[in-house]
Amino acid sequence: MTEGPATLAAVEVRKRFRALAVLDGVNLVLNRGEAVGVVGPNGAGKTTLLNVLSGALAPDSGAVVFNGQVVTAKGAADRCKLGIARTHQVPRPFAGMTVFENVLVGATAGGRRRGADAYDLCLKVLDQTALTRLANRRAESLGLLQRKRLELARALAVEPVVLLLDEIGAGLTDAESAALVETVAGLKNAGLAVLWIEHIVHVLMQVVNRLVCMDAGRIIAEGPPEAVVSQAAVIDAYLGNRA
Amino acid sequence: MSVANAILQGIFLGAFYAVLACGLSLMFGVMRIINLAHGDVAVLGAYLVLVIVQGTGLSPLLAFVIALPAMIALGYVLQLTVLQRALKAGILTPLLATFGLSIVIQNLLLLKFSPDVHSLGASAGGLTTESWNLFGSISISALGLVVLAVAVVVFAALHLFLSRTRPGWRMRATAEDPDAAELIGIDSRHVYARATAIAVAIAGLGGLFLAIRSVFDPGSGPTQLIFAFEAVVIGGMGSLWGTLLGGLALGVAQTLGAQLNPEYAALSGHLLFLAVLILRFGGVRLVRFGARA
Repeated sequence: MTEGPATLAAVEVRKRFRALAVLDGVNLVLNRGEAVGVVGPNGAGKTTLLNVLSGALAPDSGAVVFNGQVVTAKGAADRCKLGIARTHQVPRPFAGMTVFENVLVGATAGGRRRGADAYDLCLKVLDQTALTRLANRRAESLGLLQRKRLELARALAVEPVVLLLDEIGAGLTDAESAALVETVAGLKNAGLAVLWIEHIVHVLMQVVNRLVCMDAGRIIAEGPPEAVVSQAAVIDAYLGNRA
Repeated sequence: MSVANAILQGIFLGAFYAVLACGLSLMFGVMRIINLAHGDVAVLGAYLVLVIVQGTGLSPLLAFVIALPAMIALGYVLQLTVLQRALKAGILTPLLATFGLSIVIQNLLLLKFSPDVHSLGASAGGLTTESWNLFGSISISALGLVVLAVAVVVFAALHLFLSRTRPGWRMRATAEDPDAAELIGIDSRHVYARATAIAVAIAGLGGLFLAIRSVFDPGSGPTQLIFAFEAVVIGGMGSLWGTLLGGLALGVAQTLGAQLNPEYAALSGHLLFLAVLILRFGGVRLVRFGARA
């Protein structure tokens, strides 16, 4: 454990949808310069956890703490301005705007950049996500993988401290995955705190410092990636009692 | 009157409809709210200008400049108090809320100003009387030119605002996906309030033109709403430039109809509206229902 308050922490977070406990007392800590992977079967509550952390969803109980400040009551826009950005599993670009405008609106809204400063940041982010060639295309004309890159670019344009990634690696080729891993590693080394939900464990393993495995709204295993994937509980959760 | 002159008069009339429709189109485009009180807000703007003209003796155009901050503030507060709550409650609630608002505005105006008919035509001076003849049969009125020029400027300014400014980018992003916009730090409430403020201000401008070119009373709003709504639908809902073209098309349809018989003016506008509805939506629906049956 590092000194001082965690960059982002979930404390005993609970969320029910009717009778179903989607998050059942989740505790999670995320620090700067660290990438944490989240794995678990469908319905484990991974995306819900991300929604609660980003402010898209209010938890029933528990708290979200950012740099020692309780932000549970703050909405997504306010949390973004504090430095928490996320991507969606199903990309949600501003379809009628160009790729550049998508990134620019992030840089000027959440990132609070102006004028040439904003444009410079956008160029950097587009370069980082290999979207420069597509900058003037309307977002609606992009393919799924390009949309995923745009989702990442738009989140980076707000210059976040914490980056929450929801399955941006699904469907990528090996070369694309390797590029993505390199990008995330770069962000981590630049001092960002990255929380990355992904089904493809071997991709996560290449970059994360810790791995968290969720099942049925609880964290069932947490620790160094190799240790977590070899735990019996994790294998059970994924493969259903070694079927 | 020749057909060419009728078309030109239709364009002048259509520019007025386009100004009326502009705010309606913006609110629908950004928030998916169909503001049934839009016509009444325009009439409210006309009364506000009337009060200022009567109190100060200024020309209506100058009086509108004074009324403008009040209209902007009204739109902002209206969004934050009434419409924002209505938006949270589902898609039907804003329709009911603005319908209620329409009734409230009409009755407040009735209470304050009586059902008497007013006009600002006389106080606008030369603007309403000046006109020039081309080739003997084509008449160009000063008011028509001014309304057309203002309409083009308003739509161009709104276009530049949406495409070139930071608040404009935020408005477009929020219109596309308010939740995703929140996640990159955009406060949608603030953006919506801005959109309504702009819409109400431009509605006030429409009210000003209504008051100068014609007469108005507390019940004039719904008629203006119908023309504005038709302009929006003819031009394609959610498209700003479409609304300008839709307004012009509606105006031309009305004056061409009036060529046949003055009683056909409104009717031929409605027929164009119906034709667009059927061509754009109706045909597809009919085919689908047919396939199911």
